[in-house]
Amino acid sequence: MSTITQRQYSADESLLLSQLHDRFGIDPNRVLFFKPGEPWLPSEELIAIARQADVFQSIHESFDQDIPSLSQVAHTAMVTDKMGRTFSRSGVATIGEMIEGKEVDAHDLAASRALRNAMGAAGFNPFRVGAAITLDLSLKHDEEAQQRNKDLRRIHALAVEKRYIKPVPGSPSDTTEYRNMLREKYGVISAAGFDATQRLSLINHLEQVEPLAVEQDIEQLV
Amino acid sequence: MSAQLEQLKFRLFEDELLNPLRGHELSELESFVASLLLNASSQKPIGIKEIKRAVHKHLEQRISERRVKAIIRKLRKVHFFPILSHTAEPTGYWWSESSEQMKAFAERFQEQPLDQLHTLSKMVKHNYPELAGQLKFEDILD
Repeated sequence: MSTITQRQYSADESLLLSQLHDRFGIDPNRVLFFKPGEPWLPSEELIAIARQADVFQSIHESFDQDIPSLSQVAHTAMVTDKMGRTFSRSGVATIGEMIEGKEVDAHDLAASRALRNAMGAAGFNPFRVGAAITLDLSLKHDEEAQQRNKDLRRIHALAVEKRYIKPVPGSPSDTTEYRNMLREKYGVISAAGFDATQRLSLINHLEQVEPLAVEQDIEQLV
Repeated sequence: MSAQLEQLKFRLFEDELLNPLRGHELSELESFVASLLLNASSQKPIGIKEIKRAVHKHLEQRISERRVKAIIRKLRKVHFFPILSHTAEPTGYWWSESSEQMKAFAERFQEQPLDQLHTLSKMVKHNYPELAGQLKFEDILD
């Protein structure tokens, strides 16, 4: 696990670090920022905050699976709130992912993402302690439908950004490279049938992968 | 259901998100309902009440039974989604899982008025062209 190098924090970030330290004894050096205002804490610290906030009966986190074709690892976290409702979510990370220029242990990253997702599903944000809300999640498939659409929007936006999907003015987008990538990495041609872990895996992959070269780039190389 | 047929409904849904037919983009509400029904099956269809409750919970919209039916009709007629329904228990909607299901539904659906038959012809012709010749709506197709 890498530790943070000193840098200038924004006022909001400083306030957050101060609150985490004062209320939960979290070492500010353990908090990294993916980008300004987007904090990340190792799984142990997240669990420590949740336990001190006393909003869950139980918190479990464990390794789920390796995704060797993408050099990814997936972890699963399950939290049970005070009303006995259980929320289980996945987290995915790519080996070699960097935060603030430091390589972070992929298992810890996947574990903390799983915990954040599970806690978030239960309405608890460890970075906004006290803001726990009650959700009625009795219908699992409606939650899945909503999350699927949200994830697909993110996947498609990233696929466009990384040039796997090429908008063609006046014509349907060219999705050939996107389909090829899905077929190569997952053995299917659509991400709509993915479960939550697979969608997170694809999002993580698209976030990490370099954009495809455009034809002009290739011509310049030749 | 075979993996290939399982994939069909997901591919149709994602294709429509990426490249809407004739430029008719799915609205947020239509997209949510279509996605919700991806989790349904012939054995466990999703009924109108459940759709209304889910829309209210996730999109914070109160919609009527009539509106739900209108959305389903649009998903079928404009986006050509093969969404089937039971009128007998268990009632509700789901994405077609096989050509057999589509055929059985088509035979029941053909008893409906002309407009619904036109909608049906669009669904069958677009998704199960091999059935189009077997089912008798030659005068309706296009």
